[in-house]
Amino acid sequence: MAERRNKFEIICDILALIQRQGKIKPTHILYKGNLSYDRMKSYITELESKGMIQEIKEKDKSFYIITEKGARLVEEAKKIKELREAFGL
Amino acid sequence: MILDFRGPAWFFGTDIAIQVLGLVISLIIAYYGYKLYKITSKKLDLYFSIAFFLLGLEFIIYILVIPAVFIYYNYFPTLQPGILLTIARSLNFIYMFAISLAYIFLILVYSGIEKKNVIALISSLILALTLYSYITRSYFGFNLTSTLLTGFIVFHTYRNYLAKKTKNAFLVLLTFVLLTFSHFILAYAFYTNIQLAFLPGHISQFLGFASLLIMLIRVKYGRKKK
Repeated sequence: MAERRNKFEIICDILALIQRQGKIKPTHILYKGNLSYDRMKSYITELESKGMIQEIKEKDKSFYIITEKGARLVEEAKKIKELREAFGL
Repeated sequence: MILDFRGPAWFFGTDIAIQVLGLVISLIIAYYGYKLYKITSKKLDLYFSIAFFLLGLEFIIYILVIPAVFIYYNYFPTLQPGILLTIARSLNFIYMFAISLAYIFLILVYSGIEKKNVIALISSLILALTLYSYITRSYFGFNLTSTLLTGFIVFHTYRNYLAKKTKNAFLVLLTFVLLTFSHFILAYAFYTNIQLAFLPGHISQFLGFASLLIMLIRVKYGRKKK
């Protein structure tokens, strides 16, 4: 059975997904990120408040894009992930 | 005083270099730990960062205060030390407390303890123990306590290594094994008062941080995990 992702891994997965797509609808984050609606909503709110993603409106539809800060995090996430694994955090 | 930790006179300088290495590595890990905390907002990630920041603080005190006190005692013994001695003594206490608290924070992380009242209790006990070691100048007791604390961390890093089986996990385990050995040897050196016994203590500490450095280089340049 696959191990459950922790918060750090979920956040990195969401950011990497948005970065790959360029811009993405919340519903796409939901199923491509393999999350429930409530969890997706809380992660999105948190990432937005931390300035890692930004909501944009196009033809009354809502999309999310990654910010510079979020993109920097994706770059550093691999290192942080390896460090976490090394220490067993 | 921390001066008692230094070992034979010909080793002076090398011990400072070892502390500089430890300082750089500790601050890099504290930085990554803080980044992790900013992402996850998890208290345990913050404690991890604080632990390495405290280790960094310990190294800063050693690097800055030791040479200052050493110069005073050797070159200006007739001058009234005034407030300098009080500052040095206070920093000496902070040095000991920072080490103990750093290990405690790492133990909290590995034990998953987040409750503030438990943390306050453990920190108070460590403060009392450090005060006792400081007042009675029992550096043997201080190092023996540190041996036990790092031994506990070794247990957790060993379990992590068994679960992950990666080189990086092994390097972290090796670091804490060497730090435990270092504290044990320093305790022995204080107990027997054999100056030469301080050397393996310092060398073991150096090898421990060198092991962390290798791990950081592997992380930075993205070497394969196995």
